[in-house]
Amino acid sequence: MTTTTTRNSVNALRSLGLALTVASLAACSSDQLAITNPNTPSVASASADPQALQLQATGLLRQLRNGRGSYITSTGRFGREMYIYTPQEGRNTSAYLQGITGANKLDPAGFAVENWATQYGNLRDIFNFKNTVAASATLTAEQKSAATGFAKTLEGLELLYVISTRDTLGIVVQIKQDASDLASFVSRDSAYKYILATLDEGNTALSAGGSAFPFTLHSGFTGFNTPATFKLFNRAIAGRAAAYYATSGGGSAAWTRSLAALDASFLNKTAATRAELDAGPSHPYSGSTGDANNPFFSSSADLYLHPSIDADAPLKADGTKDNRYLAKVKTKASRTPPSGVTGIASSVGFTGDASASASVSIIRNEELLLLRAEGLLATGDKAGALAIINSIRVNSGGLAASTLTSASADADLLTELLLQKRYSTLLEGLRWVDMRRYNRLSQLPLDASNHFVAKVQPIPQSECLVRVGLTGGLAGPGC
Amino acid sequence: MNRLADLNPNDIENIEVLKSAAASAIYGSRATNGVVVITTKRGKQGRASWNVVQRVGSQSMLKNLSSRKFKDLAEVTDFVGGSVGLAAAQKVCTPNCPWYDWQGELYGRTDPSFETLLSSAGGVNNTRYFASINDRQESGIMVNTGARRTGARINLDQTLGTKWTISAGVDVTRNFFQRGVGGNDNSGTSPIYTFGYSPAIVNLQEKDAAGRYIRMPFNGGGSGTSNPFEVLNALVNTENVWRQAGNVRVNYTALATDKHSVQLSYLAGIDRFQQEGYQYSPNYLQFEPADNFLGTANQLNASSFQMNQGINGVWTYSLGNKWLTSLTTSVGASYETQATNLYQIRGRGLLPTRQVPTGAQDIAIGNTRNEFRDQSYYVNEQILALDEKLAVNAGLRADRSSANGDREKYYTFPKLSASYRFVKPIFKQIDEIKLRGAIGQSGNRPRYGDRDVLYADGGIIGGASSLVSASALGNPAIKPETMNELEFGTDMTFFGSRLSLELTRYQRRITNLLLTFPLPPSSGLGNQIINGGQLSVQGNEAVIAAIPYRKGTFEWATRVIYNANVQRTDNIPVPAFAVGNSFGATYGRNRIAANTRSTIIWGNAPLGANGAVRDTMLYDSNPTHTTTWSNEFSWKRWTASILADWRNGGAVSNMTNNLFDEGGQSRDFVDAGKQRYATFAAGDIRPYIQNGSYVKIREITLNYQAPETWANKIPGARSLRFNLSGRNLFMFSKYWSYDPEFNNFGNQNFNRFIDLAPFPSSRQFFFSVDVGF
Repeated sequence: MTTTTTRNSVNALRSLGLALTVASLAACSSDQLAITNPNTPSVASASADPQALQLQATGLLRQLRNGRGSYITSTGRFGREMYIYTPQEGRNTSAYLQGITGANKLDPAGFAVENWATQYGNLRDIFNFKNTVAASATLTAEQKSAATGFAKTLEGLELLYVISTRDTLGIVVQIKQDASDLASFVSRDSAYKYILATLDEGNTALSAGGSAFPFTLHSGFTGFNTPATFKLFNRAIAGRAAAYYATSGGGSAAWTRSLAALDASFLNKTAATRAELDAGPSHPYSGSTGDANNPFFSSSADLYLHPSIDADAPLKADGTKDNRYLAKVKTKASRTPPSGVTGIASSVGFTGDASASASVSIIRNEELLLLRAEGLLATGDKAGALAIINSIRVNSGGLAASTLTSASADADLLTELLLQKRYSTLLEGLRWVDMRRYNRLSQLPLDASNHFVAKVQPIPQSECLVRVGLTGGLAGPGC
Repeated sequence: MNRLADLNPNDIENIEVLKSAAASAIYGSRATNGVVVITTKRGKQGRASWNVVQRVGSQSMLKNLSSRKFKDLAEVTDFVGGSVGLAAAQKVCTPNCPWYDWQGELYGRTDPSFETLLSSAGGVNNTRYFASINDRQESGIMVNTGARRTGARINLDQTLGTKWTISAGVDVTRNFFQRGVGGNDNSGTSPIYTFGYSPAIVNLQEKDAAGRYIRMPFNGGGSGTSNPFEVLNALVNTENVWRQAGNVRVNYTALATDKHSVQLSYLAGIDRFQQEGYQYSPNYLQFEPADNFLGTANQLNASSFQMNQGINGVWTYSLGNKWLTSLTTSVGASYETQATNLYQIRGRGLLPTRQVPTGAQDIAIGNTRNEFRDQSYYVNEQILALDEKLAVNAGLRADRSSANGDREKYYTFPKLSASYRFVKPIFKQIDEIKLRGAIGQSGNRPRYGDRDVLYADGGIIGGASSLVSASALGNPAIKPETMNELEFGTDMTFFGSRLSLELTRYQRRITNLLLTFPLPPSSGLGNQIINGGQLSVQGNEAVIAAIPYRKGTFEWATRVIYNANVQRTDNIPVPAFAVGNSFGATYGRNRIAANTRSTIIWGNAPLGANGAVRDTMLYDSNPTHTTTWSNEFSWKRWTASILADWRNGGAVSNMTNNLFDEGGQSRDFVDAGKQRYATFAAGDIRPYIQNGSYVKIREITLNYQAPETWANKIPGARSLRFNLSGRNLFMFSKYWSYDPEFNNFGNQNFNRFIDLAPFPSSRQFFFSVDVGF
């Protein structure tokens, strides 16, 4: 009895052992589990690809473009240039013009927190790009210098977008290898110093960059696609950055720096034709699959200009409106603010929203001329400033020369300059920043008693949540 | 993808719900949240039986939100949204405005629904079969909505000699859905969205001279809005699913003696489906010009293939001894794969009446594939002892997966459970008291791609493609999160099983959480995937079942199930963060913060210093309890049942209400809505975080088993049954919107409390005749 039981037990165990062996053979091969992700390249595999540098360089320009549309439409709403009147989405309006009702504050967890994550997204890739270039065994010293200069120029521009929307709150300028390692906030003054230094380093690197980049730039950079010509773009951005710094504590030294940078840029002082005024690099768009449509085109149904654009337009000698107005403004079916949002109706449209493939400029000669006028005015050369204002009035607006003279008050000349800049660079992301730089935000029109003009965009709540409980620069003055 | 909808309920023999620890012992690393085991019917030896069921029914909207009734032109003027709307209002408000029940009209479809079922089962010699076909056509409460399911199944069992049995089954189903339009959208497409912003003073069913529906005159009257009646009649939104599933099981009795039995089995299953989603919006619809492309066609296809194979051995040693009744040892291994391939083509700017994306002005293409492969082993020991009063079960399984960072490493999960029965203790009225406890671990494998550090496709610029950093930072060291479960309780029966009581206390702790936490945006990356932290759920469940009354053929059986739990984030290795996939602080969302209930809704409220608006903890979206009460009455040939659900508490972010208030169209706008919205606009979300308590009558059925003499009037018939049933019949709730159970984000772990412009819930009625041959 006992023997039988034992034998049966042994048989049973044998059977089980057999089952287990077969199972092991069927399931044990770990090779079966080694499958690769077919959807996107891994960092390890793509970095070794010969195309990598070109793809990454294009990536920097692609991401630079990503932020352009929302930079213009957000600052355009703060600066009372435009609305996004989506009928059934009031927040596209209220989040920018009202903020938190009664608090005169934008919601850091709401809509109006752009011009942050997109720019830092590109800054991360700029950081990676610089490291890749420095570590490259195939690039020559000249090529490395050219690529570094290219990256630093874009770094300065992206940071300029961020500081010009956060201003006194300060920003983060450092990207760390470990993304979870927090970088400190720095003051506005430090941020501008960092940006100007980075642009200068980029300029120096481009000077040592030989005759060609080790990658090609898209057609928006035609005329700016070698280290020597890209430098002209670098100096233009430096001219803008220094001018912004000058009105943000940089003072006359910064104005001098701005004027010098503008002189070294693609500034054409004798520009008279539309083509000459429009010269400068731009972002191309297209309807091709994988590409993006022009951002104004994409929001054209809801994009309205502020009615004051119509009311304030200068008149030509024959009584008709300014040529810039005629070129940029159109009449469209009137729309009232969305339900639940106070405000006024608009029937003023933007002509820049008609084509899916129209380019959007990054910086134009016309802005450089006006930046130079700002610098001349601030450094006491009223006649020089007035000459530029008048050339813009005549060549860009088709207007008569201004009645102001070099004996006019500085404030009056500045008012005239800002008026010209408003129409010359309508929806180019400049108006709101300029009005703040010259302490004139209170001159912007309010459509309703519960509206206010934001001075700065808030630091997004997602940035502040990770800094709760920290102190000093890590906590950030803006959180 | 959960495709429970592809099953014919009539094919189901039984459904067993296994909770985590028990489930994972058998079903592996994806069973953390429990497993639903659905066993389909099989054939029986003997004469073939046939069953035919014909059902017919209808449906209606469960609740109508109604809308604001405007007195006169002066009152409506502020809400017409521009000159076009004003002209329309002036035409109809002379001076009093009419009111149209837009929701009642749009969701008032009562077209009949049908279902036909045919099944047969039987067996001769060593072969048994079960076969069924079914066809169900369901109408929705809105025009052009509904569903149709057609399917067939065959299950076969074959015995070969004394040692071998082979079972196989095949199931083919086609499921077709017409989904209509609903939910979140800011483009004027979704009906509830549009109703919330438009005064119901015009007849939207009116048509113009050309036979087209009139345009919505409000909200500017342009492309930012629409006439939902036109949209629903012209827009196509369908989903067509073909599903094929098959399984085979081979069983070999290696040993069968009085005391020993060894069963070896091999089982394999495949499950494949093709899902074709299709949307078409013709060029003439009012909202079409909004994106500058007239007409949109979108084709979204998914194909999925799942396969599993397993081998098991079970040795049962029956000692037949009073002290030790039996020992059952199981071992096994399995290999599973799941692959999906998703592809999409969307065309905008179509030629008139062209319904495919080909040649469109703007074409977008997408394609992603993913695949999981898992291997596992398990061993399990079951002991039955002490006169079958003590049961002990211990097991261990080891899993590895292609989704883990280390694909070679096996992760092991032990479990142990025990129960003891006291038979007739203390009083004779007590039949039995059982004490039980279980402790165990299971794993939840990482999501596809969590382990990969990837670039992202930066897109095209100037004709050139680009590479940029992926927003999500993958983790090559990612491993499964671990669910630790502890459960104990007691089951008692009294009075000859007339009364029973089950009490359970459970605690689930998930450790090594798979966290996707947001990185600081200034780092340039979006989020990072890590293991860490602990989430826990503690809950109590009680079930009371009784037969309070029984006399003659009359019997009343009742059952109450009570469940209450608390979900907490115990700790996390990163700073507190807001869970993604939500609408921001303005509308409330969950946060993962250490030592905090994870179901709490955080949102903006003026609760900071000096009344400053801050994003803070407001209400708990988790109900204090849910209670289900079912009753069954039987008398002679009649049976009737009623099932009610009660949810007590549980806050809901009522954004549907917010829409109607923002648009000035809520039914109570003047009395309350205006104030709610003003409070909200000042940064206080609280008026829209509303109590989601409800009592719902889920189901009432009435059944009559006809006498055989009636059945015999049908040639060949042996049984005849009539059934009248209603589902989702009544809801008692103070909740403002359609249904507090609706959740905008579908089935996800967090932010399950957002009600935004849903498709209204419906009640359904069915009458069915069931004939057996």
